[in-house]
Amino acid sequence: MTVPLGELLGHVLEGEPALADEIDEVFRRAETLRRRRTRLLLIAGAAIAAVIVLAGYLLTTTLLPAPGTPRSLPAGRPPVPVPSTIADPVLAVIAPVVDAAHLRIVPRPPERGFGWRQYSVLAADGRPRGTVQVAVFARPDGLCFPRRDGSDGCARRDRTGGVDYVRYGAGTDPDWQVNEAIARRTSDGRTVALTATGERDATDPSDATPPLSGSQVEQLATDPRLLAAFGAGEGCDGPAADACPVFKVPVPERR
Amino acid sequence: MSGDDNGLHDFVAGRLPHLRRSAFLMCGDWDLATELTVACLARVVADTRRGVVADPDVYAYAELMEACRRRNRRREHVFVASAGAEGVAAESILLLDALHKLTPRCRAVLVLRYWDGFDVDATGAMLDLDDDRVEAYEQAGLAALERLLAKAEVAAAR
Repeated sequence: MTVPLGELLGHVLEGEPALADEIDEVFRRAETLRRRRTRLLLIAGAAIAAVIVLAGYLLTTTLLPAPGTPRSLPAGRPPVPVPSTIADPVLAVIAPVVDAAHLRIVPRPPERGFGWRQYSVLAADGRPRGTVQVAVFARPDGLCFPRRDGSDGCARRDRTGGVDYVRYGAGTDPDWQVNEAIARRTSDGRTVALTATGERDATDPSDATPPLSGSQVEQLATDPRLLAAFGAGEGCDGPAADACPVFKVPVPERR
Repeated sequence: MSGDDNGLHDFVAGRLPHLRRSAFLMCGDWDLATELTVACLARVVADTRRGVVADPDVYAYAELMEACRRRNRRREHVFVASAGAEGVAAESILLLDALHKLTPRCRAVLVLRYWDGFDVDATGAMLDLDDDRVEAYEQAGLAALERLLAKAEVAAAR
């Protein structure tokens, strides 16, 4: 090429059409680009947020137990059934009697097990006044109620409303004053033991007396609602007995 | 160049005609050249407003050459005379035809070096090539163009 290429290329551009509104079009498209990029950014941000929320939900549902899941129980034991309207049906039976004595009753850790419950009793000023323990047993073949004096043989039992029962007094030990009642439903042998124990090592001797009187303990133990408040299969029998409260007057294993 | 709209408007108004011509030399069609140039400059404006453009000239030519290269993946004989271009010289047609028989990279190097007047360094920046490659494409392009034009002149003389 003897003629510079640039000069040659210039001739090629003859007939170049005039510009119209291309400059305005440039800025219109730039604005469209900006809006499209903003939209994409918002969509990407929403997608990322959704992924984070979903990941958090999946992690939570995978790692945490669902509410209401019972703690693991020994093999073969069904979870303690709880009526949907009352969290602790046993407490619902006992509380009115405690309230009438101008005391308060609250669950005492460990609060419950398979076939038993326990509670703390407090005075109006919050002073501890002792404990209440309740346990159920299966005694379908009958029950030899322990004698009050601890001697061999079966105690003479009283009966009310299809329930045989014996009431046991507080005793003479000032550090372990207990009112207890053992009641057995004659129809199926389901048996309940309820104890009210005074506060041990209390500075005020009146706090060492049981928070429930003998008659109150008897009233509660023979209340059919108390046995019904426990789950149908619950019982402090067999391997479960090791975890049950220790009663001052134990419920015998067999008649 | 500042990001304010006055500066951008001056830049667009000043560069648009030159960019469009370069685009025509690349693709051989004024309508297509106009479309590619407007789209390229719109991206330059949008990205300049975001503050991500260091050198708008390099950015604009790089974007344009890449857009033209994507449109011209085949060496098409696509010269289209403009509607008002009566009597476009025969030599120009032959030159444009020969230009479009070059590879897109060779074509881009020749347009940037000989039409737009950029040096090897700037051309390399726009095409993402090192200096050696730019010179190699330039030499190859010039040689091929000479051969094609010589062949065309011989054919036209017959």
